[in-house]
Amino acid sequence: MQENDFDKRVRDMMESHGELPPADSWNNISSSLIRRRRGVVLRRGFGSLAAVAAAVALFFVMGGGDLFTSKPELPVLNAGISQKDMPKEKIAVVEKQQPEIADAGSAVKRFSSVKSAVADKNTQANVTVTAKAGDVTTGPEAAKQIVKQIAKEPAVAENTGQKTDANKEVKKDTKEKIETGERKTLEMVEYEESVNSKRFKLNKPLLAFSTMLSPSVSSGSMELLSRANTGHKDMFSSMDREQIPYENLYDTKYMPPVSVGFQVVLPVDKRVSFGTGINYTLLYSYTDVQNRNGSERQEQTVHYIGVPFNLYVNILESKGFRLYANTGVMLEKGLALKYKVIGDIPENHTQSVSGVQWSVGAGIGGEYMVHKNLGLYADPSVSYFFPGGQPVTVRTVQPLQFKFEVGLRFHL
Amino acid sequence: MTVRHREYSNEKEVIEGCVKRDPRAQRILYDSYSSRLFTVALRYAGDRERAKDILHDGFITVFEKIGSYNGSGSFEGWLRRIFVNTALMALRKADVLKNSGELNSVAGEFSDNPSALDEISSKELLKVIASMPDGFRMVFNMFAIEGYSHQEIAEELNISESSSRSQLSRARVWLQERIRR
Repeated sequence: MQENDFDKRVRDMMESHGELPPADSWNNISSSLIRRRRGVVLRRGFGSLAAVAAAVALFFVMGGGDLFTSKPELPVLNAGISQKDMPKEKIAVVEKQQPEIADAGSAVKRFSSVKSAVADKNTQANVTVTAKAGDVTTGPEAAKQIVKQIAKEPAVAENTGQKTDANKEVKKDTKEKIETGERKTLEMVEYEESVNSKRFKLNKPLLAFSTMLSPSVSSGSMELLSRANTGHKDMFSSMDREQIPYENLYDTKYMPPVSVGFQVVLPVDKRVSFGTGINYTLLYSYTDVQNRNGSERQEQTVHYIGVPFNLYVNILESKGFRLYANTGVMLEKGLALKYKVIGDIPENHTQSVSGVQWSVGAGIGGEYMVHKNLGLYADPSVSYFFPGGQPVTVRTVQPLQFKFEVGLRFHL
Repeated sequence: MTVRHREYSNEKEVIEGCVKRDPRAQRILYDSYSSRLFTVALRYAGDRERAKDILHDGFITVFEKIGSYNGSGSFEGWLRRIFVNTALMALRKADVLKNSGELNSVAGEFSDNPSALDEISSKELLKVIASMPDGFRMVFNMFAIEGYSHQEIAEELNISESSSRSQLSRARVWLQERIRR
C-alpha cells in the first residue's frame, strides 16, 4: 500500500466515525453562551427602555399633552349667514367671557352689550331686545347675576317701535358679535347637550385600554399549532445515517400570542381618527425532544414591546354603537428571549433579541357605549409580520395571523 | 406526528437560526456535529478531558463566528477548520506543540500490506491515533487527515518543513506497528 493510499484509508475511517461527547458538554457550552450574552442583554435592555421613554416623551412634547387639557368647544354658526337664512328659532347670544365689572356704570354698559334677539315662530320679524339699564340695582355682583340670567332666559319681545339709544348700541354690538361668529340657537345648544350624552364624541380624543388574543390560524380556532420534525438526519446531505450515534425527534407547539396595551386615539375629522400607544406581546412555544438517551422539553418565551400606528374610519354609526374600519402598522422590539430546558440536564437562560419586528394589519371593528364616556370595543383583524431576523416564533412560522382585540375606550 | 409548518428543515435554516442565536437552532447544530467534531478534538488532544475542553471552546467560537460563514465551501469543512485551529491553540497553550519537532525513534519501515487497516475498527484506530506521541500526532492529523501542506504545518507548529516530512514518515510507521499489534 502506498503511503498516500494509507493516508486516504485512515482519513476515510476518521471522517465517518463519530465519538459520543460527554453528556454535560452541551450544558457547559450553553452556560458559557449565556454568560457572554448577559452583559449584552443588560445593555440592550436599557437601550430599549430608553428608546421607548424617548418616544413617549416626544409624543407629549409634540402636543400630546394637549389631549388632556383642551376644553370642549361648541360649534358656532357661520358669521356670514344673513338673518333671513337663519332658522326660525329662538336665538340668544351667549357671552363667551364675562369680564370683571368694576361698578354699576360699567355694568349698565355691559348689559346693553348683551344682545338677545327673539324670533317668534309665528312672526316673520326678528325682534331684538336688550336688558333694560334700569334693571341694575346694586353693585358689580348683582350685575353679573343679571347678565347670567339674561343669557339663560329667552328675551321678551318688545315693541319694535321703541327705538332707544341703547337698542342702537345693542344692534351695533350684535352685529359685531355676528361678525365674530358667536351666535347660535338655544335649541341647538339644548339639542347638543342632550345628544352628546349619548353620541360618540368623535371630535374628542379617546384613551383605550385593550387586550388581544391571536388564535394564529385563519379558521379562528384557538387550538395550539403543532408541528414536528422527524429528525434532522435528512437535513444535512453530508451526514451518513449509519454513523449518527443517535437521532432526535422534535415536536414543536406554539401558543397563541397574548397582547395587552393602551392607545390614545386622536380625531382627524368626524369620520377619521388616528391612534397610537404602547403594546406588550408574549410569545410562548415549546419543543419536545426525544432520542435514545431520553427526552426533554425546551421552552421559549419571547417578550415584545411595540408602538402601533392605526387609522380608524367610521362606516356606520347609530345610537350607542358604531362600526368602523381600521388599518395600521406596528413596530415592535424584542425585550428578551427566555430559554428553558426541562430534562436530565436542565438549563435556564435569557438572551437579547436583535432587530425589530414590523407588521401591518387591517380589519373591521365595533364599539358600543356602555356609559357616557366609556365604550366597549372589539376589533377582529388580520396582520402580517414581516421577516426581520427575529427568533423563531409563531410569527415567523405563520406570518399571516388572525387577531381579535377587545378593550375599553375612555372618551375624554 | 405531522409536519404542519416549516421550521428548520435544512442546513441553511439551521445556520440562519444560529445567526439569530436561536437556542433551538444551536442545539440542533450541536446534536448534528458534536460527535464528529469531538472525534477531531480527540485526535488532536490525545485524552478525553482535553478533548472536552476543545469541544467546548470550538463550539463557542462556532456560534460567535457563524455569521461570517458565507456559504462558500462545505459547512462541515468550515466547522473542522475552526476546531483544528481551536485544538492547536489549546495545545499551544499547554506547551504540547513545543515538542512537535522532536523526532521520536521508530523501529521498522512502512509496509505496503493493504490488510493492516482492514482488521481494525474506526473506534480502535481513533484510540491508536490519540495515543501517538505529540509530534507524530500533530503532523499526521494535519497532513494525512486535514490535508495541510508541509509548509503550512511548519508555520503552525513552528518547525521546519523537513522536520514535518520526517515526522510524517515516522508517524505512518508507528501507526502501522500499533495497528498490527
